[in-house]
Formats: sequence, C-alpha cells, structure tokens
Amino acid sequence: MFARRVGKVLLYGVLLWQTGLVLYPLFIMVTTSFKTSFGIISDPFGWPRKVSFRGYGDVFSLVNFAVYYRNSILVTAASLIMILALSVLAAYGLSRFSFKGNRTVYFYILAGMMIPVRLAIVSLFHLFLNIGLFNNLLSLILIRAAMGIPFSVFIITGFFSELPKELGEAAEIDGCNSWRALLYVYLPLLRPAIATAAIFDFIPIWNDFYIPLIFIRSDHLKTLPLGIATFYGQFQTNWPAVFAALTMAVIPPLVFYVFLSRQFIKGLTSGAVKG
Amino acid sequence: MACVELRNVWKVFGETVAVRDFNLRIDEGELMVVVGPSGCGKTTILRMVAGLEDVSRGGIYIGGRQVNDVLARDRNIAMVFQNYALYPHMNVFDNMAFGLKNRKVPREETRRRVGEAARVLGIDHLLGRKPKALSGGQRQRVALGRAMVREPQVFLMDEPLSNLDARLRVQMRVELARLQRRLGVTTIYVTHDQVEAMTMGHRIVIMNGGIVQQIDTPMRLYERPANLFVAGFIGSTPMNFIPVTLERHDEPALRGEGLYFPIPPELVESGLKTGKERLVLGVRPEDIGLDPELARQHPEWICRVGAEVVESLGAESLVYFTIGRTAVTARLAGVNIPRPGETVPLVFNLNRAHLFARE
Repeated sequence: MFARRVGKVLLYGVLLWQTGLVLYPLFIMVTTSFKTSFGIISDPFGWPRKVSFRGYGDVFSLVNFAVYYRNSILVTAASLIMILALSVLAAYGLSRFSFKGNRTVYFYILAGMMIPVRLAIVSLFHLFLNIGLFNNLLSLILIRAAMGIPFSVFIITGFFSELPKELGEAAEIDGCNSWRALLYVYLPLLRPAIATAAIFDFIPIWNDFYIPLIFIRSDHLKTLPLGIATFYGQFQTNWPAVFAALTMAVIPPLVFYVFLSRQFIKGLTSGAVKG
Repeated sequence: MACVELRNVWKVFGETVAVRDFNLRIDEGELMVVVGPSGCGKTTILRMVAGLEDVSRGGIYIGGRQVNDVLARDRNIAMVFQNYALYPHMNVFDNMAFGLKNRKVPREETRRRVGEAARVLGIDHLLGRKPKALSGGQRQRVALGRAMVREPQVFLMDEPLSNLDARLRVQMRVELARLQRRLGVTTIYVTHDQVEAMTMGHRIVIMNGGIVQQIDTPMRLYERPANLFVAGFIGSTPMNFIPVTLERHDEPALRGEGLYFPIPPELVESGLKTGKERLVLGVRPEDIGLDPELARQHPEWICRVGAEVVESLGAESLVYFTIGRTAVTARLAGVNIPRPGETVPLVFNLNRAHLFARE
C-alpha cells in the first residue's frame, strides 16, 4: 500500500518534471516577448519588470508580419493536403491492390526517406529555375510535399494493411466502387494514421528555414522563419521583436496538435491492443 | 431469387489448382452447403460467385445470365463474411443501410427495410450502437441483416458461425436455416463443419483438394457415400474403416485380420464394382451394437471384442476396441454398456456397410 503510494508520487514527480522541461522554454519565450531590449540583456530569465508591448509593435510595423504568417499557413496547409491526399491514395494502391512491381514501387517511395534534401538542393535549384517556379511559393509546397510523402506513405500503408480486407470486399458487394470504398469505409478508419502523419509533417514544414532561404527572394513571399530572421542584424538584434514573433508563430502548431492529439495517440498506440 | 450455376469452373493460382472442373446447379430457393477441410477450395468457389475472385476457366451463371465479367456490386448478391466485416465506424443502422444508400434507395424505403430486418433478427433495440459494443451473436445478426435488407438474388455465407461459441452456434444454426426457408433466397453456405452441413443444407457439396467428391442430399451422403473421403467426412463419430479382402469361394465373404464375415449379395456387388481385391470395409459406429434381433438373424456377423475404452455420453456410449490392428468404435444406445476390459459379442450390421477400394 505504502509502496504503491510512493510509486505513484514518484511517477507523477517524473511526469511533472517532464512537463516542466517542455513548458519552461515556452514560458521563457512568452515572458521575454513582453520585455524591453534592456530587460532581456540585463535579466534574461527573470520575470519582466516592466511589461512592454514594443516587441509586438515592431513585429507589425517594421516587417510584413501578417504576410509572412499568411504565406506560412498557405505553404504548410497546401503541402499537408498534398502529402496526405497523395499518400492515402498511394497507400490504398500499395496495400489493397496486387499488381506487378507493388513491392518495388513501395520501396522506391520509401527510399525517398534516405535522401537528405540538402544533397539535392543544387539540382532542385536548377530545376525550379528552369520551370519558372523560382521565387514562388509553389516551389516550397512541391519540395515539402515530395519530402513528406515517403514517411506518410510508410505510416499510412502500414496502418492500411492492418485493416481487414473483408471491409473493402463488403463495401464492394454493398455497391461501392473503389473510390466510394476509400471515401466511406477506409478513410474514416484511417483517421489515426492520417493524424499521425499530419503532425509529423506539420512541424518541419512550419519551421522550415532552409528551403525558403534558397528558393524565396521577394519579401512578400517570405515565410515566418525567414521573416523573423530579418530581426537578426549583423550588429544588433531586435530581441523583443524576435520573441514576440516566435510567440505568435507557435500558436498554429499548438492549436493543430491539440486538435489532432487524440487521433495522434490512437495512431501511435494502435496495434498495441487488439481492438 | 435465382438459380446459380457453375459450369466447368477452374481456379488456378499461379501453379496451384484451387478448384478443378467444378460443376454445380443450385435451384431457386435452395440452401446449398459447400463443405470440406480447409484448403479444399470451398471459399474460393464462394468468392468466385461473389465476384471477388476471377474465374480462371468456365462460366458462372446467376439467373441464367453469365456473370464472369460482371462486377461484384452489379451481381445482386449479398455476402456474410466469417469475421462479419461490419464497418466499425458506423452504427448498426448505417451498417445495414449502407448498401441501400449506395444504390440510391429512397430514405423512407431504407428505414422501412432496415427496421423490418432488425425486427426479424431481434436487434431493433441495437440500431444506434457501434459494432464494438455488440456481442459476437449480435454482430452476426447485424451481418445477416445487412445481407437481408438488400433483398438480393443470392446469399453467400462464408463460415458465418465459426466465430461463435458452441452453444450460440447451435442456436444460430437453427435460426439461420429457418430464416433462409422463410425468405426463400437461394443460398450458398460454406463451412468446414459437417454437422452444420448435415443439419442446414438442402443439398451438400463435399470437396477435397479442389475436386468435388459428391453432391447430394444429407441423408443420401450418409447412406450412400461415393468414396472413402465422403464416408469418413460425414457422421459425427467417423466411420470405421477395416482393411479386408473379398473372397468368393462357395459363399462370398470378407476376410480381414481377426475377422471373417459372410456378406449379403448387395455388398458383394458394391465390392466387385470397385474392381479391386483389396478393399476397405466401412461400418458406421452406430451400425455396430448389441441388437439381439440382428444377432439372431446373422450370427455370422458377431465379433467378440474386448472393450478398451468406454465413453458414456448419457443417451449413448462409445466403445473403443481393436480388431486385428485396426481401431474400431461402436456407438451403443441404452444403459447396458460393457465395462473396459470386458469381452462382448458385438454384431456388425453389414446390410448397412460399405466397401471401398483401398488407396
């Protein structure tokens, strides 16, 4: 009895410690965004002595923050939709239809996971320059979609293969063609897998700095990470503005995660318990 | 309602022949059971009729129309799967209504049909539940209901009872048979359980290794098995097989290790028909017993055996003994049962015995 209580206390202790570890940086970021430049330098981790909204003001007055925000949302949403739509279709084909070269195609797609995009960046640069998509948000969307698809196909195909194939056959006999079976029978059941893939893909796309840095020149096409970087100067950095921008940039991923976390956890633990 | 016909149907997977030259005609409203050990091709046949599997060669006809190239969804059939294959994200009503929704049946009509089927199956109080919240028997009913509301030409059932516990299986078996007779829908029912086959089927197809062994009514399969396989497959305590040779000196007789039986002319006939000398005598356990009437008429069919194991099942008992080197089982009715170790004169009813060629 006593031992069990101690165990419980220990468990919650560890969990609290973990929570703190995750939340503390967020907390520092938010508090720092309300400090003045001087306040940040003199007392980096302290509570703001004088609450200042200067950072937030700068974010909107000095740069096109709203435009960056819109671009980020646009690029992330478009990439995600593209990744998920194509991955679900690919997974459907790979797990439900037997055709010659099925395995080969699957491994070919998975091989994409092993190629770091940095290796291909010069060719990509040439490619997009040639097809006239350089300095265009579409370049970010296409590259990000291509990068995200292998992993999503991997996750969704694995999940798909575990759904009993009789479900599709029952749907077929119930009068569905392949599209309707996917839409009305499989898709609702794939939600956990799709949520998992979506969360895994969302963060790197939202945070991406490298690809926009290379493919975007115009200010009105910049995404958030690129836009925030303008506050870093060679000689001085506008720290309050950086933290204010970061604080606002963190909101969409948080909302997105809260929205999908239940499905996400289901996706991670599915298969662990026979349901 | 329609008759179903399979003409010279073959199914080949790569190098293996799953179904070999299969011929069958199922009449309107008939319940045809396809039975056999696992891997005998029975499920493949069902899936070919359903349109889930291509036909390698031959033709499948539903209501006189060849359907080889007709898609499953256009064949107007309904199928009940072994694992039910209910849609987990839909409640019972939506599960049953899904096929109607896909076929654009008006909503009022859908509601009426689902309600009616649910009432017949006794699941009308479960319509709002998800399959996860149902017991095995209830899921079974939902799967049946989903097939019923479609009002199809043909029901296809793939071992629908095998996931239920023994008690429920017996109950559902009776209900299913009753339902089928009431609806009068042509039905193909696949099972590996010979008891299910015997109790449910109007006629039964027995298959082994992709080849039809016999197609007949349950009683004829029991009385007149076409070969050793059918003889061994039908009957809940399997038929005894005793190696013998046919002797035809002055009186025809069977001689085996530890037995010598003069036999009636019909049996001689069936022995000769095999064209072999070395035969197998098939006697059902229920045809070996203590019947005094038979013993008086045919004292030559009495064999004194030592009972080795006796299993009492209440109304009847199984007595295990050995003749020569062959293990034999007798099923005795009543309470006058030998004890283990006791020697008893058992009379073999050779009027009901069978002779097969030895393989």
